[in-house]
Formats: sequence, C-alpha cells, structure tokens
Amino acid sequence: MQAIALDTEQLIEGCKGNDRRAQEALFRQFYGFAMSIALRYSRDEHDAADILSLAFVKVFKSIKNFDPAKGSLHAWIKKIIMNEGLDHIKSRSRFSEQVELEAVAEPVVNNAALQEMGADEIMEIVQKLPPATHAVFVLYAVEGYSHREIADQLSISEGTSRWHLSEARKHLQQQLEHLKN
Amino acid sequence: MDQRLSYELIISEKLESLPIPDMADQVWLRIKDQLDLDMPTDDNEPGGPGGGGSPIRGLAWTSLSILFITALVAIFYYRNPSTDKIPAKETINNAAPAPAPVKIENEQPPPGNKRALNPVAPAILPKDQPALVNDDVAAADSAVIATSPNDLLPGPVTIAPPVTVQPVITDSNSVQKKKRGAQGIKESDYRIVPKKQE
Repeated sequence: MQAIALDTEQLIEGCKGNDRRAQEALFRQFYGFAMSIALRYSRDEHDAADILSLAFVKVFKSIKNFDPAKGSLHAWIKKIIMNEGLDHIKSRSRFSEQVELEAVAEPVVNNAALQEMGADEIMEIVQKLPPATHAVFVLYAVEGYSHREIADQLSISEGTSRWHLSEARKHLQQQLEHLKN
Repeated sequence: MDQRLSYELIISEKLESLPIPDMADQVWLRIKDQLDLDMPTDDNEPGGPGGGGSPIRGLAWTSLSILFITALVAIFYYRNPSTDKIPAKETINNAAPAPAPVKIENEQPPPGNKRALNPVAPAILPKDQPALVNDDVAAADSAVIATSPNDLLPGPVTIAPPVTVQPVITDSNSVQKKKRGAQGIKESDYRIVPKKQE
C-alpha cells in the first residue's frame, strides 16, 4: 500500500485518533531521519531496527502529549529515539560510577585518515566501542552534548563521562592505525 | 573544556551522510503488531484496510459464527445414531458390562478389575455359612446388596476368615454365566437363614 503524503499536522491529528494509515505515513516520512539516529546507538542494522520500532511505538502512544509550541516534531521524535537507544545500550552494560580520573590524557587522532574513510567504515568503528563508551562518545562527539548534560542523561558523574570519552578516543586511534597498517 | 576536537567534527559529518538501510517495511510491521496489541483499533482485521469499522458488522459476523457452529453440532448429533439409543442413566449403571451373576469366589480378582472389589464387605462369607442374599437379590445391582446387609441379617452371623471375592455384576437381560472360581457352591448356600433365638 502506498503511503499517502499528507501534511504533517494532518498526520499528527490522524495519529492522535489511532488511525493506522496516518501512523504508517508519519513513520515512513520520518524513517530516514530516525534510522540515522538509531544507527548511532546500535551495533548493527537489526539493533537499530529494534530501537526504531520501540521508539515509534512510544511516539504513537504519547503523541497526544506532543505540544508543537514547545518544540518541533523532529526534535521530539529524536529525543525519544535517543532515549530508546541509550536504554538499549544500558541493557547491555552497566555505567560504572567508580571509574573516574582527575586528569585524562587526550590521544591524537589522524584527521587525514578519517577524511579518507567512508561513513560506513567510521560507523563500524564507533559501533565496536564498549557500550558505555559508545554512548558517551555519540552523545558528545556526534550529538554535541556537554559532559554535564551527558552525566545527567546517563546518571553518571562528569568525571566518568570524561573518562569514557578518553577511552573512545584511544579506541578510535588504535582502530585507525590498524586500518592504516 | 567541552569543545569537540576536529576529528570528532569529521566523524559527526560523516555519520550524517551514512547510507540508510531499506528496512522501513519490516520495521513498520513490528510497530503495527505492537500497536495492535497495545492500542487496537475498532476494525483490527488482519490484512484489512484501516479506518471506519462498524460494530454492527462485527456483531453480524459473531452471530453468523454462532449459528454456523450450532448447525455443525446439530448435524453431528443427529447423524451419529449410536449416541441416541443409549440413555444416560443406563450408560452410567452399566459401565462395567459383565453378564455373569454375582458370585463369591476364592480367587484373586484380575489386576485391573477394581470394581469387583467394591462390594467386598457384604460379600465376604465363610464357606459353611448360609448365603447372605438369595438368587433374586443377587440378580439386582450389587450396590443395593452392599448398602443393606443388616436388613438381611436379623440375628448375629458368624463370619469366618475372609474369602477373596469377585462379584460380577449382571444385567437383568443377560443370561450368560461365567464359570469362574471355586466349584461346588450351590445357590442355596447364598440364602440367609437367621438363627433361631433360644
């Protein structure tokens, strides 16, 4: 069945009325955007599909609470997908509070090598990070959150967040050198 | 402090241009299945189009289904003659078809024949004592015999060591008698003769 391209507001109203056609149309309209976010928090495509399906069920269940005056639908859906992705990572790993360093050594990463790499190669490297490190790196390096915001999001300290970021950089450096060799 | 390094910016740009896998259909099916469980619609028919389900239509389908099932049951019931001819009461009373009359025997009953042991108490008799029941009573249901031994025994009755009994329940219409157990016991032995009070 071909999804009908409708105005987003009409789709939202249809979703509030539990109309399956409106829900499917809204999902397909946001699929590309949503999947790109889900992939950042997953280990592979199937993991991302799990995150996406759970996230959109939550979207349709709580769309009645969506207030356009408070923000855009994109930002609202992105937030739900991010939370679902982080829950997915947390289910695989515990975010330890005990790891904390006062001074973190910053490894050097070869930017030139990175520029030459394709997006799927970079994604593969990021997905191989340990779960907690993966989450902190994506939130910091990709989403642009501060360590304070990450600490609040993941219920960890800022020091732990910095440590995980340092670990992520070490991993990236090792992987890039490995690929270069 | 929280400034992203240049390579992190590169990574972020690269990831924004990541190719998206074509999994929209299968992901939507999973979403739809979960929504059908958590938030079912009025017309949640499998494979049907969405929107505008009528409750009257559902009621009609339910009524038709009930009528159809009733019709099937009725057809099955009337086409199966064996279930018609046997009344319920007789079926219960004649659960163990054994045409032989009630007999007292010395043998052990067959292993599976538990029913033979049910009326054991009144059927236990010494070999020398007169019978507890007469022939007419023996032809009746064994449960009747079992429930009223005192009525048949106005006086004290001496009971010898118990003898293994295998009473066989007989139907009044049946004439067949099985030759089982000890020989030499006559039917007059079963007659109860009260002792004379001196």
